[in-house]
Amino acid sequence: MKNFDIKKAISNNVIVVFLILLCLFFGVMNHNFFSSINIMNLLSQMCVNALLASGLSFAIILGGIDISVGSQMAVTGVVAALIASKIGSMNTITALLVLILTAIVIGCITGGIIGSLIAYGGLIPMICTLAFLTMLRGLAYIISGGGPIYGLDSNFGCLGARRLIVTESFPNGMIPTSVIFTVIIVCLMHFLLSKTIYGRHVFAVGSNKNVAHLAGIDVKKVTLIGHILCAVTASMAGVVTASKLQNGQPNIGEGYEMFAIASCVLGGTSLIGGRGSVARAMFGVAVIAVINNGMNLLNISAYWQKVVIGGIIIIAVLADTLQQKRASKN
Amino acid sequence: MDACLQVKNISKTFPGVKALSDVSIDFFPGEAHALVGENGAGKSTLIKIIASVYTATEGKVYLDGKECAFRSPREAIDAGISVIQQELSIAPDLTVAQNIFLGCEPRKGICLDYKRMEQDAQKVLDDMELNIDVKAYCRDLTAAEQQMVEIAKVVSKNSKVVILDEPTSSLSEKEIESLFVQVRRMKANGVAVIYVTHRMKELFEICDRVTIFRDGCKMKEMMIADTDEKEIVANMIGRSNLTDYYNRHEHPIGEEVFRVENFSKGSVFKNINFHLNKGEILGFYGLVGAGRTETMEAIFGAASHDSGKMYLHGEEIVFHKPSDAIRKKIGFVTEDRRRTGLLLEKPIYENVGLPSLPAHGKRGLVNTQWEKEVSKEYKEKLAIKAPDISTITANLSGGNQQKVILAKWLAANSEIMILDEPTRGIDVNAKSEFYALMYQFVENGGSIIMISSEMPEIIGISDRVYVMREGEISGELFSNELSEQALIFSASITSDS
Amino acid sequence: MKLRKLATSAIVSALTVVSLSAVAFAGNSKPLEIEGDFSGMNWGFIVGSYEHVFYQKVDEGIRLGCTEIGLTEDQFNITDCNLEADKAINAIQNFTANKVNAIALACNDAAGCVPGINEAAANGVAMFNFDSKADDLTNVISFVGTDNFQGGVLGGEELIRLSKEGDTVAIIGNPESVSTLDRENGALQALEGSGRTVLSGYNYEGDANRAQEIMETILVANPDCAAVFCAGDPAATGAMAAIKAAGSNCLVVGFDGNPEALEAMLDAENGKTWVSEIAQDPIGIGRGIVEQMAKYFTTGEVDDQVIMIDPYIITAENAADELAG
Repeated sequence: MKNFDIKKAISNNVIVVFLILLCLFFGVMNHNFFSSINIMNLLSQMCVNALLASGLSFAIILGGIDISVGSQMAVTGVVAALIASKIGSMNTITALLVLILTAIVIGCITGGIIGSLIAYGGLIPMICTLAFLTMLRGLAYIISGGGPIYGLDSNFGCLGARRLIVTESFPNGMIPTSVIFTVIIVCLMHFLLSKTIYGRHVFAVGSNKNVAHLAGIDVKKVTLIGHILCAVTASMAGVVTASKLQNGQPNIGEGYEMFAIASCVLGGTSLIGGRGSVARAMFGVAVIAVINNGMNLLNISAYWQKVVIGGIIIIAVLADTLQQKRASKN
Repeated sequence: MDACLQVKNISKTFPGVKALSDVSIDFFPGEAHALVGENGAGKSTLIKIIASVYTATEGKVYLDGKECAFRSPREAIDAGISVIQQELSIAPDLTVAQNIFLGCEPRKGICLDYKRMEQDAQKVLDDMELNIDVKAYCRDLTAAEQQMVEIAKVVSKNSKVVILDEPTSSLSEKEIESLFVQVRRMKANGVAVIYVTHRMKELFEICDRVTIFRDGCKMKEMMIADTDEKEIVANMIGRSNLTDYYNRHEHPIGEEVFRVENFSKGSVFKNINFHLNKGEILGFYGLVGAGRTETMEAIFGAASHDSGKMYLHGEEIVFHKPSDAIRKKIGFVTEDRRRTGLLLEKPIYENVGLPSLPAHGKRGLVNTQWEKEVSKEYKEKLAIKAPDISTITANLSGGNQQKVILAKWLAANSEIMILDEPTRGIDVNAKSEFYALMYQFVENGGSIIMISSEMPEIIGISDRVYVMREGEISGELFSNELSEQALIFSASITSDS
Repeated sequence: MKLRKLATSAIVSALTVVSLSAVAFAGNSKPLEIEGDFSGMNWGFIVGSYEHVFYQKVDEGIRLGCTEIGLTEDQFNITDCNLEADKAINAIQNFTANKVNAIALACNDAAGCVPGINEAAANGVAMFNFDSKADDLTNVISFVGTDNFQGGVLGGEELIRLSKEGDTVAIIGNPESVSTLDRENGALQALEGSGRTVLSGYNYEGDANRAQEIMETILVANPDCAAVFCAGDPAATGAMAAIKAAGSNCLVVGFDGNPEALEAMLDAENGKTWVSEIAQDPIGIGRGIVEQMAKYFTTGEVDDQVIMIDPYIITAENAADELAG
């Protein structure tokens, strides 16, 4: 670090600086912000968006998008709850299996269909997933019979409602299982994107399909897998939520896609594809979670919260555009 | 008769290249004036200066004796200079009438006057004796009809000067005939027609005067009636010291490594038969649109074909997708670096490693060490000028970008390399370096198929050349038979002329 | 967003089948016993949104009422308006074009629906209103609905009952809809001068997960929060999850009277947290409006122009009866 350029370091990590400033701001405004309970809450509140953003990163880097992730959450949550209600009483292992397998199976099915339509059917991702946004939401209501599916075994909460490591100050446990689960999945997704050949192919397809095709990459397969990954993580977000609430809500996740997209963009993922990182998207997730949490902590009116979140999204997109302008100048 | 358009002492310099030097031409009303020359001879640059797409570095353009100082192509059009591009600029979702009056729609108050627009369009088409429905959508028209709409657009503006840039490249023989009817009509109406073409036959059929360009200079201006094809071709070519520039050295040529039989795809290419020998540089010459790139893409598995067989080392092979060809050690350096060659926003090493990741990775992981080592190796060997292998390829010069693409296929251990216009848009020194690398490759046992539209290049470094015309191979020339004359005859003169 | 809701309205029939086959949860209302000849009748109903269990129940009530007075399936038609005035007006116009005798609708946008009501009335359609009251009842023959504000007052009173003077209590609402906003305001009024610190102004957006996050955050700053009034059952579901995870003793008062609320109150464990519920009688509203329409077309009169069905409190004691119907 002999030539450590602090200006460059800041301009390359605007989002990190922004996050730190936000935390400091809320910390000063409310002494509870940095309390260990709130930090744990913050982490658990990040889980759903973190899972969504980690998968969505693949779809966006591929040059596409998936706006149906919120509806996918609802379908998977409802299906998992339905299965659990049919099983009745179950132990933790069964509950975990039900939750995770449901997420993987439902994710593979929805992602497989969406991905095939986009990769092989040539549909525009935005339009295709818009259709799925409405279709899957409808399905969630049909499967659940219109209302929440409730009265599940308390072990159904093993992936969201439970906390591990009981200490004196945390009689109910400190670390939420959802956080542990999310950290594992997000690390896997980050590894997949940054270290594997598949990940490299995702970037190649996203930056230039023709070049990727001529370099022997199966562009369609890469696209299909990307959408499956996106759907599986969305489904995981769905089961985490269902587990946390201990019931399956068909109306869950409405509008979550916007926060997930905003998180990716805040983390430097390019909406035209080819650029991005799961790890950096997590900073975007953190920024949005901190703003939500901080404003609720300060008891700021719900109307103002909407204004602020919208403003942050504008800033995110603006930052993305400016960064691209700067990149094209070089 | 006074010239209606004069260009005087025009020079145009692009960074590093002098595209035009001291060109002066007069264009007369009622006359079709052909501009001919090889690719890069300066015709397109001159047209763009006349149409005010470019500004001349030196020299001036006069319209009816008045100096033109147009700030945009729009102003040039308004002053009466229209260009009909090689690629049609018709809006497919608008009607014929809307296209004809695009940008100068008749109005009634603040509303468009559709009725008048259609009446006027009908009148223009009637005058041209064309039977096209003014209410039809242009996407439903044939390419030739669309071109007629473009001409109608120009006619409706009462243009004084009409530039036709390779207007026949997408037309059939019959359609060309109806185009010529319109050109003659324009001439009769006193329009100065500037006609850019590669096709000798058309030149003699429709033009009155010809100006020949070479290397950015005006070589000669003649009346068509006073000349013949041979004289024109002779003026288009003629460069000295070719061999020095290409640094040609003899290399051993072995036996056949690759053969293609009866490759066909609709009307794109038909009955392509050729073979490639070990250590050979095999040239593919032809005019733009002759089907060379399409043929190579199909061979590489990047595009489909209808029928035909391929043999590698005597064994029949089928490439369904590029990865099949890559596995058989074939590389493809494409024509358009930015569109199909490089991941511009990615560093050198990611580009170099791209096709070979599966071959070198373990358990699905990228072998970063190999990737970086091989990139360093080729950065040295090919003398790629960049700070390091992490440099973003968009920031490299054209020649160095081309070297990165070459490195990509060398790193993939390619034995057969298909190079499509490998030296397009790179400067002279870079070209020379690139040729040396090509020789190095064949001397180490590789074989090259090189598509090029630059005759000196084809002649300078090919061991053998196939010429393609309209999707078919129209000639095979060995190095001792290679001359620009022979190439032009094979490539552009249809059998009946 | 809108597309999605359109799609959900297409699954109405599926929902109806499910809700009818579910455990009979009939609320407080009694079957209608009105004699009359309704053979020439054709009625249109517009409920708020089929995505809400509440309106699914209203729908059920309307169907029950219509069947009880002897209307056949093709004599009445129910649709939803996505909680939006322009959709409601479209639906009114469609019904009018189909020559219905009467239309009953929920005015989720109290002012926005009025022009549609007036237009249809001018065309000779008898207009009725239920659940959410229109701003202007001039052309409305009768309104049947829950007094959401009164429900909020009950919720506030429950908060007072469940806490001590000096305690902190919270309200999780949704200021985007008039009915939930009324509930929040009602509760705020009841709590005024009660000596409780009140946390309010949150927006759970109808999403249980959002409510969970809000409750989590409330508990950080106010770990001793004594009770929370949730303006809808999804909010109560989320709040309960957060309270249980945090091991807090905060008590939940829900609103809606949905089956999951009753189940929770009866559950040995969940019943320790979710202790009270302000219930509306959606089936009663559905039946009630049908009753007024039937009376209007048989006698030419209705019971009253505004009929409020009071919300009521359900606790563990009467939850079982409620569930059994």
